[in-house]
Amino acid sequence: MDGRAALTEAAVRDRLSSCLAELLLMERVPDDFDLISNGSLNSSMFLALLVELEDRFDIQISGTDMNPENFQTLDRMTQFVCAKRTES
Amino acid sequence: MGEPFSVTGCTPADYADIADIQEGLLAGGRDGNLAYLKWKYGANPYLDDRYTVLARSGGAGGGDLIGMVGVFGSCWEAGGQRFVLPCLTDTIVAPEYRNSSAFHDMVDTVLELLRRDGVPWLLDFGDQGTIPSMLVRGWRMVGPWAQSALTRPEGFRPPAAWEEVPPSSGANSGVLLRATPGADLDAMVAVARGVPQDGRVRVVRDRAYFTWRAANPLARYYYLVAGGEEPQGYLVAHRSGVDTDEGPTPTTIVECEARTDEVFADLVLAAHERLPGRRVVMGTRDVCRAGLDVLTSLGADIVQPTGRFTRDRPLPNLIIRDTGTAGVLAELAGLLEPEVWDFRGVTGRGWR
Repeated sequence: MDGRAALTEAAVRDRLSSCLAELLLMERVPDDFDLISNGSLNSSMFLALLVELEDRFDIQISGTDMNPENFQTLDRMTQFVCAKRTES
Repeated sequence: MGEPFSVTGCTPADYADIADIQEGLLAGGRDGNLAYLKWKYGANPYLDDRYTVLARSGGAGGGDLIGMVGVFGSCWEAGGQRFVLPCLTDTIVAPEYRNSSAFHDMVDTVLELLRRDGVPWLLDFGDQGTIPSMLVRGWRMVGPWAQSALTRPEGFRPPAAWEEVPPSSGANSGVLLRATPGADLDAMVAVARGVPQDGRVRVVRDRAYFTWRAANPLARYYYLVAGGEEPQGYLVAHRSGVDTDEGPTPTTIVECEARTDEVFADLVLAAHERLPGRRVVMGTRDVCRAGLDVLTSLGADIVQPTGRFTRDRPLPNLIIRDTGTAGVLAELAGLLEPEVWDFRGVTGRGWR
């Protein structure tokens, strides 16, 4: 791979949205849908989500990344992925 | 969203239902699973089943058992004090409820009970698959740490049955090593007591603990002791009690404690030469240089954590949750820091 492909925030959001919709069997995931409090993402889904994020966005996720601020909603996850993509 | 359920406490009257729902994990049959539950929660020297939580289908009062979050007691020591810390264990949710909040509702109930009783921390050394979803709910990660794995050739059989292995002198220390048919409590207690604390938090290994652990009805243990009248070290390895020697589960060296690094290395070497199982694994976080050298010389694969969640899943781990109670003992205040923990003598899940 010749470096990381450029992605706008909107493109990240679109890809994340379709990824989450697939996992949650929903047609569309609202930007502020709470993914943690209502138990929507069970343990195996969460693990699958991490693998998808690493693969689709070419990022590496560590234990310290795993907090509600980064994963509570599609909005926050978009911010998190965009920040990770600028890290290295 | 999803089928309704209610969260309840646990009493021995629930054990028959638990034995059935846990068969997929424990595989001990109803009688074996019941014996395991009575041992784990009824005979544990530190804690009974008061914090174990169940989920049942339907509303209040409940119907069929659809989930369990077990909590058992482990005892630790630091600064000359001992304290019991509860550990999550035996967690299960019925397949039709895995897309519900059942698991996290049960864990939240456990945390409420602990907070009510002033218990500051809940530990989990368990299934890596649940860790990401727990971390985003306030758990913190202390691990993971490195693990050694020695894979034997297909068809490997140890040179002799464990109890028939003749005593031999350790190559590094010259100390006599002998396999014992059961836990040599006097020797093991003496060795554990003889290794000084270094200020970190370590698991208590006393007569009550060794006696309880050895009674696990769904486990097979293998014991090595170094030395005679003045014991110099011991090693404990574990295999599933419901698997054969040739079966797929690994053999885990759960404890190795010694007064010197040479004796430690001799115990590790002897165990890897004699234990049954296609794979022999042990955590290497606090293993001494001599022990690591033995593992390397045997061709063991020592896997280090990468810091990436998706890669580190198979490694031993510890996550911990602050229950939010006030007035935590000073010795317990820093448990979120990895360097606070002393796993020198405990290379597997030795505390259960």
